[in-house]
Amino acid sequence: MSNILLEVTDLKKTFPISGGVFSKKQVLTALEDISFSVSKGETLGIVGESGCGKSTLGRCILQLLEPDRGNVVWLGNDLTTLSWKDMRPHRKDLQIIFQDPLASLNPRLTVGEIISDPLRTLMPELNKSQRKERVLRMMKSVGLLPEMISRFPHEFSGGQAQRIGIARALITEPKLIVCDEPVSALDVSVQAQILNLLSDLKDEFGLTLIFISHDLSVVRHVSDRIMVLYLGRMVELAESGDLYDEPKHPYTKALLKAVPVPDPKKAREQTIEGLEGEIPSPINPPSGCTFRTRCPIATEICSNERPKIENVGQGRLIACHSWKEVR
Amino acid sequence: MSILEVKNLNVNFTTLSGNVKAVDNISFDIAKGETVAIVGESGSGKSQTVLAALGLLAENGKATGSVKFEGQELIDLPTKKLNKIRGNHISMVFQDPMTSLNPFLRISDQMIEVLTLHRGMSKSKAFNEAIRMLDAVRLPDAKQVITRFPHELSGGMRQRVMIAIALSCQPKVLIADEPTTALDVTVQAQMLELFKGLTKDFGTSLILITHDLGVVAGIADRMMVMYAGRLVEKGSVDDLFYSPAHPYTYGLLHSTPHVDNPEQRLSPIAGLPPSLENLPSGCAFHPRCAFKLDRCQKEAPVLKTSADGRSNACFYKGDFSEVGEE
Amino acid sequence: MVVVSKKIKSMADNMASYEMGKKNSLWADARRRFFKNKAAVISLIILSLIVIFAFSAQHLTKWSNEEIDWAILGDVATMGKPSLKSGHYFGADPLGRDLFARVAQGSQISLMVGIVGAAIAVLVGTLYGAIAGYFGGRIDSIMMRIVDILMSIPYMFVLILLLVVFGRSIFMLFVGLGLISWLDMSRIVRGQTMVLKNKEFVEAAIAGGSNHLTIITRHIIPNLLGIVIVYASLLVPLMILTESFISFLGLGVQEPNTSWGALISEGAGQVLYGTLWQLLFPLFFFVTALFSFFFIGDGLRDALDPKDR
Repeated sequence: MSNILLEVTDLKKTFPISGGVFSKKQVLTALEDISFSVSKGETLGIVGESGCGKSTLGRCILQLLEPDRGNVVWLGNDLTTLSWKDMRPHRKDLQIIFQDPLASLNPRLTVGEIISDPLRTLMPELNKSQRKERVLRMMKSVGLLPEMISRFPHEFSGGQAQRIGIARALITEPKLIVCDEPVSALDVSVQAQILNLLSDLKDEFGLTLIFISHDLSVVRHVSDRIMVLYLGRMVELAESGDLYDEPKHPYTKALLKAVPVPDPKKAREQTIEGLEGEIPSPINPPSGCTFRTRCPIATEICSNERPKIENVGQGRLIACHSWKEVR
Repeated sequence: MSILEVKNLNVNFTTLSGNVKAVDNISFDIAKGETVAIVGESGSGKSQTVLAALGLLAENGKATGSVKFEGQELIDLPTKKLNKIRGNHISMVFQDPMTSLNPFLRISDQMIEVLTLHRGMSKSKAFNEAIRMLDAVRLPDAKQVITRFPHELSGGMRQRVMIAIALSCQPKVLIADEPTTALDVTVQAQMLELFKGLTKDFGTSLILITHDLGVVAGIADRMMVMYAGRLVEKGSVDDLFYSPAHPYTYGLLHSTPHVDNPEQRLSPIAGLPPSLENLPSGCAFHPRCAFKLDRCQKEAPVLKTSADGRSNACFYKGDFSEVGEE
Repeated sequence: MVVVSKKIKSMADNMASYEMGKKNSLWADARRRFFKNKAAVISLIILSLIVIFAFSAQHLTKWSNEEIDWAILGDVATMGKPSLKSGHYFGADPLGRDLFARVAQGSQISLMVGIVGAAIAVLVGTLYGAIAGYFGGRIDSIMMRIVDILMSIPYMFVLILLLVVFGRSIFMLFVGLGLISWLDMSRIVRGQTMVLKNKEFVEAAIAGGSNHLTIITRHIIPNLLGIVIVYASLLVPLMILTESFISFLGLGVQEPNTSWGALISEGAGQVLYGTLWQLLFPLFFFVTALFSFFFIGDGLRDALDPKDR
């Protein structure tokens, strides 16, 4: 058990939606009842469609957003109880890589400044030349040429800019990195480069990753365990292989059936099946199980009672009343 | 009989840094009822190709060559005549449903516009026809939705409206530019089902522009691969997926993670897509090609069609697994 | 199944073969774009000439701005005409003082007022707006309500009141102009700050442990500079106009100091006596300077507009 780095319990995050002068204040529930743990050295994938709250979750873990309720226990410390100042020493070990490489880099700073900034604030004991040395070393590890150190972000392509983001996240030698859709904004050929890079760096630095993405193929490729979210709630969590070979939750099943496989013969054999209906509004989610409006096996209990998260063995968690009937 | 014939299409843009060739000598045919995918990454010129065909290029763009629809030349066709074909016989669905619909008009107004213009319907007839179209694209609750404004609909619903508008006049050719990239996976699956139904039920030819090989495998019959404005390989989907002849096609196939078959390590294509302002000499792909020959730096390979109907623009004729070991 | 080629593997892992273009900061980009704008460049040259004139013209003439030429005093209309012979290059004013020297001195005052006024607006407005926008919530509400209240006070009225009560000094002029000029800027900066603080690179800075002050000074303000510079360049002519109006009313700088507004006021009053030069020379400088500032402002906006990138 001492292998567990991060433990999240009952996390809830809402956003107020101003209803204007004449209507009631409404609330958007982005996340609710989220509980999971992450062990050292693993990659936990978090997957889901729009509105599932995965990006919000990433930010809540890093305290970039303040959760309404719940605990985020990192190495024994509950981060939700810490002030901005007390959170700082932990930031050295907890970092994040963003989706849009160019938006996550300050256009007025050079590559060198961007990568060395976290060193300046989180490792002030280093002097200027020590910082520079670390920056150059990190740039080499991520595949950036040393002369790029004085360039500006807009001079780079998406893939290279993402390398800068990765270098910045790794410079303080963190223990855990949240990767928020790190390859979604990149061309296919560059995606593969970055995925390989992340995999190499993970081995080289002994990292633990939380990999957030909407792309099921990519998530499977990198993750050891995967958590599926739907409208802010956990739906299923299992080992990657188990999840993809034997999905138990109707949503997971539907999600996997909907992914187009780049193999024409296979595509002709299995028809790509879409899920009926649309994702409901997070401001006014359906009662009971939020998935019941689109679920092929929904029953009466599904509209009355929210399914609890059950541990059904082999590290698998499911939130469904009738998962046993899923074929 | 080809419904669309493109011959030696070139698209040039005059920019501050000089002339940029976005599309370099492309030729291809589309037959009735078939689905052809144009595959490529950013800068490949795939979007500009179809924009040129429809006369939708930006101010500083110029198309030369020939694009014939049912024998009628489209390039440099006067706008009045072009408008009779656009939206009517050839329609287009764009990538971002957020910006393709006018936020100030109701859905009904936007759909009626097309119907009254091309099919000469009265407003009330057009209104009913519009509802029928929305039902056909399986938009739930069409009668309610049609009175709404675009921002009240979700991305998937908006994309369906776009498709309904594009189909209003029963076009012979539907061009879809990355129609599902901005959509969730489950919604994308619904869209792809829709597209499949179109070609089957109405005999519509579909030109699908995408970078997602899964989508291509799912619904396309033939595919074309573009790189840096040039056509590098063309053929049936089966041919290209199972025995690609061009190193770029091969590279793309192996950079894509498979849901069913997770590989230990992807084999990405080295380097970066080139800047169109600064293309490499000879074959545009050679700096990233693991199989390049000396010739590739000096000469640009020409697209050659072989006996089995496949076309390929590459000097390398060997196997891709040469020097192969895991 | 197709086998992975070693060749591909080794190539993919080696990034060294990538070349980059010339070095390029965003400012260099903007500078290039600015100098392509003919109107802006010409305006810049003209403005520089006016500035040079304002601060060195005194050396070109033997007259000071307050010295009365007794020789022509009685008959300024005929003897005070602009001429190279008499040494009154721009002619003389109704009191027989050399207009060339007076216009030069007036240019100094007007330009300084414009630039100092704009500088105060930029400094105070940017800091105020950035703090309000960054912290948001109640702090923002209170700060912006104060701005709203101050904005609704008729500034001309307050300015005139100040000048009447505390006397007409250049210092008072700066205080008065400073009091009104920062309000608009703070609103603009606040809006822009709110957009910036939600950008991912600010989140990245927080994740990197930066404190609020660092984020504001290192990440927010440098990215505001574009819009601030453009707005400031439009504020300068506004300040000059305001000062001119005050002087036109007779409440601006005190004699013997003068400004464009004061000179125009005098000149306008003398038109009936046929001494057109007394109006036209200061008016020319005034209008030319304003136009130049506007064109430069336009040029700056086009050069710094991120959409063109």
